[in-house]
Amino acid sequence: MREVIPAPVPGLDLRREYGHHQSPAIRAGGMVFCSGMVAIDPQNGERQHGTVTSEARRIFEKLKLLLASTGSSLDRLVQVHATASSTTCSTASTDNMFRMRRRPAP
Amino acid sequence: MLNRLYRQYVPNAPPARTVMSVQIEAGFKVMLDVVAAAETRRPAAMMYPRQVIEPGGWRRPGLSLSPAIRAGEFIFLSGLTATDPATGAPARGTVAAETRQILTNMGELLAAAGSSLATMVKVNAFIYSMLEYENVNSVYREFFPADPPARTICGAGLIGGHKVEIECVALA
Repeated sequence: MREVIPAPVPGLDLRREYGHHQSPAIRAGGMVFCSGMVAIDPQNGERQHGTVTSEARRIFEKLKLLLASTGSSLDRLVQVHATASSTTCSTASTDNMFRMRRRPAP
Repeated sequence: MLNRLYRQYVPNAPPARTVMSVQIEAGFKVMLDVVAAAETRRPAAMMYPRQVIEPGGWRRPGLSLSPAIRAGEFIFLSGLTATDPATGAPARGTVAAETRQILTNMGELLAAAGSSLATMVKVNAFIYSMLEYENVNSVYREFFPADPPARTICGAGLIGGHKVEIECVALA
């Protein structure tokens, strides 16, 4: 069974705010699949451009809201696709990713 | 930068992750999409062996990938570019034409696995230029008139002169 997860707050509905033809998230087979998120204000959908760090922080806060509305949370993540506009950021992330992989994997 | 913050929000047993440098819409610097377990039980996809889905016309000797994999309740499709389903030859065209060809091929591949486009839960789409975003969206709407899947779109460098590549996860 496939269930569309509605946006828990207006700003997370990119279909309404920006015409993106997508659902905020889909629950299926015991998993929650979230659409790609960018840094927007969850209350009104306004874009919130900033540094890599500030944009990522806003995205994580929105992910918490969206996952909480499904009964899930950041503690239950099984996969993350992180896309960044800068190769510098990407390289730094990849270096750190290898260090992170020394920890227990899910 | 990104990782310092990442560790604050995901401190223990970090999930599988892919980091890519891409072109994001509207000048944003970061975009994240995630898959999370909805319940405490072990996801069904982890409890069953994986099965390769490779209908006759989809065999591509020499490529180190399967067109699709069924695992538990899910079917994972490889990233597809626009090809003639009968010959496997590239079917390059406009962004709209390539998008239509890819989604048509995806429907056939899912049908061969006993599924359909209507069961898609997550789509990742890559476009050679985000200026063409609306040309993807307009065709996409034709295939998903209601309750579209969760989706991520970004600009990326694609091989073979293709303009669009799409991958997805669907229910089996």
